[in-house]
Amino acid sequence: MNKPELLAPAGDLIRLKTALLYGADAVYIGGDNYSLRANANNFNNDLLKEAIDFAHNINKKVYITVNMFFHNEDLKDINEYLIFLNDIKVDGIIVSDMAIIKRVKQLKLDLFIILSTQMSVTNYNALNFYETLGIKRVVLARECNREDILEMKKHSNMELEVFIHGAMCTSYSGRCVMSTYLTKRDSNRGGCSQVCRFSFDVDNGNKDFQMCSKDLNMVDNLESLIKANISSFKIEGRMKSVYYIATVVNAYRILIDKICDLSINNQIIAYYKNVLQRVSNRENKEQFYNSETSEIDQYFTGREELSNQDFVALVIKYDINSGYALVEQRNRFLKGDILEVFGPVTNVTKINIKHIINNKKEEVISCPHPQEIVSIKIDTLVHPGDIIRRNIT
Amino acid sequence: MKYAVIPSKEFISYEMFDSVILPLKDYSIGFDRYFTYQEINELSKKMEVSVIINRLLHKDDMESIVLIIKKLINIHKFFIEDYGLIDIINKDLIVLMPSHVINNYECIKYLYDCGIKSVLVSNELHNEELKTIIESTKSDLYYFYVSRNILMYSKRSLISNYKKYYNINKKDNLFLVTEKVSKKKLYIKEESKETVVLNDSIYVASKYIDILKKMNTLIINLSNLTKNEEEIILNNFKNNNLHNIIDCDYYFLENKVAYKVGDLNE
Repeated sequence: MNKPELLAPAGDLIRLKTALLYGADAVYIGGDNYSLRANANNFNNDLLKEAIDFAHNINKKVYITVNMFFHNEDLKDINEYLIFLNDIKVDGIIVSDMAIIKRVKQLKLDLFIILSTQMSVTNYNALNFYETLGIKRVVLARECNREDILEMKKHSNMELEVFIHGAMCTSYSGRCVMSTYLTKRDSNRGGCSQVCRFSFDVDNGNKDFQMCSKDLNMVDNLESLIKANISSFKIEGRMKSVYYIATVVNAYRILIDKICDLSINNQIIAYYKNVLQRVSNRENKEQFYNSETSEIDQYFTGREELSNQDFVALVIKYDINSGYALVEQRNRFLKGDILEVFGPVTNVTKINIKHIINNKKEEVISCPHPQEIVSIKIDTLVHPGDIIRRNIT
Repeated sequence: MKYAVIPSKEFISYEMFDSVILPLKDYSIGFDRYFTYQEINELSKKMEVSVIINRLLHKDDMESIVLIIKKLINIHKFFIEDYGLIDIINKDLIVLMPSHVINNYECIKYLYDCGIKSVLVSNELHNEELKTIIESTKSDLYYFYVSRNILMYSKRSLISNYKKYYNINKKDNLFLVTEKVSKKKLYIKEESKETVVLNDSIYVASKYIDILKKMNTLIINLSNLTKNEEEIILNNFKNNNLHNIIDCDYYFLENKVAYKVGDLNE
């Protein structure tokens, strides 16, 4: 089986490094302008260059989102930006607007063009059209089912990228301006205020109306997608936390690797489904892949968003002689807790917290303070940057 | 410049318009009335008829629509949402109408270079943006001039799901909903396992007719209107003062959409 690229989101440089070190083959990021996360931290030109250098040094890729729908005035400085992206050798740009394809061609730039999911491609005839424009890869609409994807693969040599995890639009992507009309924030230039997650009163009805989708989780269909020879598996979430990125990327890295080396089993799948359900504060489902969606795929009474307290601590350093790790606390833990540690080169391992030493060198029975630095005894080799989380059975 | 009409359920006065645009049954969404290929062919013997296919098309849809398109005769233009149809329909007959997507002159010029010489321009553009587009492109431009516009298109059965979840036994597939904080209203309309959200207000662009009359065709969409609204529009669609006669909204014709949150004036 060909192993697909695992593609992760990164809202800033810390998340980019986390994603790549925890197992992503590539990341997608946005510059200061022109992407669909206009209000995220994003990357200025210096940070873009630093991101590319970091990724290329470890043989990984960075794609840049230039995927908003442009208005006339937005085109003013776009040539300079595209030339800059070309010069720093980005591995591709993700675009929606035909104007950007035109400019890339006019400027004769050597940019690998990926068509964004904003264009909602659902059939191979559309792929054929986009291929004539010089597009090399298409991010399919999240509404595609298995038959749609197989049919497209059968009739097109285009690289296909599919979403495997994260939030969904209620709308076909790009086909929504509710934010534009209700909150005057441009849905398709990165200002989406997620009106689909608001609550509505129904005329002549007494139950709140909601149209909010639950998230996507494709764990049960990874093998099917790998067999379909999909080029890239994409995780949504440029605004998500470092812990979320590390956990989701690590989970899919392990699942993909184990499917491809034929060592996957039901126990591993069940474990990682549990990991992925817990890391998100929203339920996740497979959505459209095997059937039409129904009432179980969306929320009606407000999201039951549980505050996730699984992230316990971050390893700062480990003394191999004493077996003590210096860690920074993220959520309260106690002496005697059974926790898990995992990291870029640390397999998921259960650890028993036998000793906690505070910064006054006193042994304590709990670590209650956010970002408190303590030492804990860990009987297995861990590394800086590893994450300690609650035990997930 | 022509006026084209998209008919409502009971509309029959086609002669009032230069052209008629008919939503193709099973392949269009968000209108009041849909037409089979036989009905379309009957009308196309008598007047200039175009067809709308504004659903996004999946594997099974593509297989069936190829056969239907072959049966359509004497069609002036095909208004299409799905770029897959470019592969199937003669490019000279295509009006590309991806919702809310065609927002700048460069995109229109590129499509022209690719052989797509007719496009529907978005309704979320300022009058100056429209003016620039008209002045800088050679394409035939189409525009929803009067319409209760679709603001969102989903592949989910949002009303059926709601009724199932709350065990509600009602047959209606059209809801008027009010957002709890802003009190803004939207229509939710479900058709064949897909849903559109429509603006509460009717879009009317008559205040800027001097700019818009340089387009190829202005579309009067009679779908999703009350009888009274339809009557006012039919009596006044050529009146440059229509926006003062009917309750309507043309906010974006006069206010540019904020790009970033910091650009909002308030």
